[in-house]
Amino acid sequence: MSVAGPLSTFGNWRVFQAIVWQPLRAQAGRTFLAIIAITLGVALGYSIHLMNRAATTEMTHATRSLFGQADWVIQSTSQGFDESLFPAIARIPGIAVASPVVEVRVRVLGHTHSLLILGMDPMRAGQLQPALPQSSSQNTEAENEQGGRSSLSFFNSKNVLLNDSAAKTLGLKVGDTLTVQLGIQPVAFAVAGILPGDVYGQDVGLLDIAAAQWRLEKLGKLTRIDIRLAPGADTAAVSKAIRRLLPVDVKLTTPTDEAQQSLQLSRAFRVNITALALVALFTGAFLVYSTQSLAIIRRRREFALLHALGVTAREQRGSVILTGGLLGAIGAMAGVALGIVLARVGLQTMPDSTATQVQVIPWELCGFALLGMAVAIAGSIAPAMAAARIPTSQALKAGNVEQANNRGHAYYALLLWALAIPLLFSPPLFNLPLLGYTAIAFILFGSVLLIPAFTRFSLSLLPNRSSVTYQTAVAQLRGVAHTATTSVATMLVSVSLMVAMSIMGASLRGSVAELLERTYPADIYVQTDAQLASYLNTNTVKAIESIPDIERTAPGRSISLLLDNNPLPVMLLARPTDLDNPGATLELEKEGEGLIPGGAVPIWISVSLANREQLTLQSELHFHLAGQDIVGSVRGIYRAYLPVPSFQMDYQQYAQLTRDDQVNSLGIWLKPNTSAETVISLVRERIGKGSEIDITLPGESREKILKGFDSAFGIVYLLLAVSVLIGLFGIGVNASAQVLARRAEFGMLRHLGFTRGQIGRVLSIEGLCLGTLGVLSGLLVGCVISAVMILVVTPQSFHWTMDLHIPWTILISLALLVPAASALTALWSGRSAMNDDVVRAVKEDW
Amino acid sequence: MLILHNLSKTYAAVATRCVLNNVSLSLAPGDCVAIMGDSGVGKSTLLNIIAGLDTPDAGDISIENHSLTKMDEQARTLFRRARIGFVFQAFHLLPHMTVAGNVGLPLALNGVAEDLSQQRVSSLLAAVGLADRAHSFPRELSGGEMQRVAVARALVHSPALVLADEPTGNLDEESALQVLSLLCEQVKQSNAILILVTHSLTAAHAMDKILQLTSRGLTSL
Repeated sequence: MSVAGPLSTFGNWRVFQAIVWQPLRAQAGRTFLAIIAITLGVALGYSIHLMNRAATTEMTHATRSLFGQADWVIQSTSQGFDESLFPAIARIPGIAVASPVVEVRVRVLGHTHSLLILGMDPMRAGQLQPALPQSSSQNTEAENEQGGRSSLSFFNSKNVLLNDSAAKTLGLKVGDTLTVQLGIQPVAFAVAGILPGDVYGQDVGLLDIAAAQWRLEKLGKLTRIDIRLAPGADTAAVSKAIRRLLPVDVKLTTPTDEAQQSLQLSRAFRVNITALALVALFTGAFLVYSTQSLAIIRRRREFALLHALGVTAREQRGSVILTGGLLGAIGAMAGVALGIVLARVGLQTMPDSTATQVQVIPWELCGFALLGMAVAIAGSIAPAMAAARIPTSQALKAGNVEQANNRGHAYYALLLWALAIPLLFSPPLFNLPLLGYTAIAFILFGSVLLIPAFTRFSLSLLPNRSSVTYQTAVAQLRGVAHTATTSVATMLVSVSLMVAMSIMGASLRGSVAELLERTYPADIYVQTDAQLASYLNTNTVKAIESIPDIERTAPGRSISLLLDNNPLPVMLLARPTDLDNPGATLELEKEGEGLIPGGAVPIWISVSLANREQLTLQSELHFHLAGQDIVGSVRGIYRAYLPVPSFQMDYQQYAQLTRDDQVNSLGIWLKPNTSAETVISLVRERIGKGSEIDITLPGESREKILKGFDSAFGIVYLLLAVSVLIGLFGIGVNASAQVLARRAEFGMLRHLGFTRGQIGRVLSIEGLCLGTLGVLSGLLVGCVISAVMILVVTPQSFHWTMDLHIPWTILISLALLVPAASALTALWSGRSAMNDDVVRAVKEDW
Repeated sequence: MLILHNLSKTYAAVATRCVLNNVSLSLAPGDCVAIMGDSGVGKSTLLNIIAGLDTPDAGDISIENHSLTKMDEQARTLFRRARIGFVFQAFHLLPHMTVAGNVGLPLALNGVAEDLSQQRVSSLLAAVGLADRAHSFPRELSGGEMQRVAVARALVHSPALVLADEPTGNLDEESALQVLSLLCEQVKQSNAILILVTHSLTAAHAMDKILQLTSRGLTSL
């Protein structure tokens, strides 16, 4: 027999079976839990990725489809532009097709959905949207078959064409009536045809452009002009010629830019959700580490024996890493499968989601599967090194037990913490808080490395008591500190993440609630969706103000604008603003004093706008309203939680500048001793029947917004719940592994006269101590991480600032329940330590 | 052939302690020797050094003309895998493997083909009287039976050297004598060398020769 041996070790099935497979089978329960942890982590990460991609693909497709084969788009930066621009543009040499469009998003009465109405010149639009003429001709045939409604025509101002998707969403067919809301008035159209196929990539209704201008109150106005260049056109010259004609509030852009801008708006949310999914995967990796570490402790003599029999240190390390890889591979494969299922379910159940197709790309699927394997392998590296370091001769001696090896790595811990500090003060990378997340990882890893010292110190503080069960438990914990360290570290990771997410969620929600208290001071609110063509006009407002029980009203208007040199939109909020005391209705972080420069209007900007445009107090913000150049002077910076940056100006000034008589919100203050219900019914009368306008009390508005907040953050809470679940798995795995590892010890205690109850108490005390240490360290580290989330990650992601709100109920519940759950888990996992078999364990050689 | 030449080993834990001092020994194939000595004199250390689990501070170990002291840890492990067998006081059978699996493990490690391995395992189990327990698990065996499985495992890959550290420490006298007799018989049949470390004079007398380890080295009793 050769000395070197032919061992390509794990290619040898019998060796693989003996060293890797059989031990995994022997601890099937723990193996299963470790696999589940990886599965959940990969499934969450992959499903979020798939949903993100489906949504972004859909969004890109929808935006791109909207412009057909246009090369450029002339777009209004505010509320549309004069139609006289169109013929001037169309005459520019080098432009092959110029297609004018009126674009209005409307509320569909009787439905929760909105609909994008496009008014267009079909002859011109057909040249940019190849599906259009073909669809129209197919539709004409359909019309004839359905009773010869040849009188229904696209050019009839009472008709609308729906694309297939809109018809399905709204449940309409040819000949049905589509009623939409314009202002507060219902406007009815007959469905003249349905365009088959995927035209426009979203729910769309088509009108002749003249009909759209007339019936949607856009007379003389256009929203955009789609342009296709002639082959070989001098793009620079055409661009120059176009720009020369554009008014200040109109810009030239490309469909690709428009699609990218749609994605930019949701980028921060998508990245942060992905980061949270990775947290679940990290927790899974830590559980693999914990499982493997405890298996090494339990299999200490087994590893020593294998070394004595000739298994090299490298092969021992390899066996542990291979075991981790195997767990990771199974977990990752199950994870990607579950991820696809979750993504499909998620897309079908998500409100407002138009994306339904989950597209599985093989290399991405392999990437996530490899990521799952990689984290499992990473979690196995430290245990593998420990396995190879087991002193063979000592471990094989009868009666040898694990030596306390909890030196810890305090210096590395402090180094990681020190490295985290500059990262906390670093600016975002690519507009994302990547360095903030890195700092969190450093803080968490550093804390894990400090756990041995923390555990040793904490255990040394435990008082002496006469109870033999207490003494035994404490002696055990102090003696086998390495095992205790692993358990505490597992709990630290899961509890700290729970605490951090809870504090961040509570702080954000609390800050939103406080803001709402301040911004909803009236007794009643009449509101319309600012994104839709629903609004009150001046006459309606006057009619409402004439109700005798109303003391005063406050109109508000919200419109989306584009600033020069930034393609992303901002929201202009025109509200009655007390120039002497703007803080009455705004949550101001900074407030300016001093004179307003001549010709400038006072404005207040959100933190996100201040960050995006690098503005501060007294800065000037240039924007365009109703074709005019406006200079805003920043008088204050306020806190806001809108997905887009915003700025506020006084409503009266807005109305004077724009002569816009449309109102999106109307706050109503009642005279003393007036019934709100009575006024609400009177307001409904004034608005008229047939329109759908929200009339709410402030509490209802706040509740509605907070409900929307909770719904939007539902996925965060879902991830939090999974993290908790994985953490609890960890506690169970640790407890049962320890009991198995200590069967001989419990057998000895039973020989010495310990009753089953006393063994149970020993286990419970140990579980309680470890749970308490886990919770204490988790609370401390969780608070630090939450501070990083609140002060660094959220401001860098969303430009949102918030006050600290501690969710005391959750934290106190955690502080009480986790140690109790840990004690119970230890007791439950250790039930085998209380049966009669354990008495025989003293004779076992393992 | 096993040759130990002037082996020395010192531990420097709290205070420097010389455990082995110029220990020399020469054994030929078929030799069965017992090493006795007071607790702490270095019997287990000597065994660990011979096995390549520990290294001497000075001196040389040669097994079949291979010098262990010139090998690195990896090479010593591979040598041990191929040419050394072990029997421990605490049996150390893998609990999740059958008797046949435990006995066949060294063959699997050495890459012996499965059919040959099965034949060899069956033959060894028959030799130690456990042919009918091949599919049992260690927990289903008595202490004597477990140690006989350990003997079979130590011999299955035809090692040049078998090291036994108190192999009868956990057995009753009758089982102990059976195991020792079996061990010697099998070692001689395979022309290997057996070194038995024990405190038991009875066990030591089952060997061909008894050596006493003292602070001055190995001496014959």
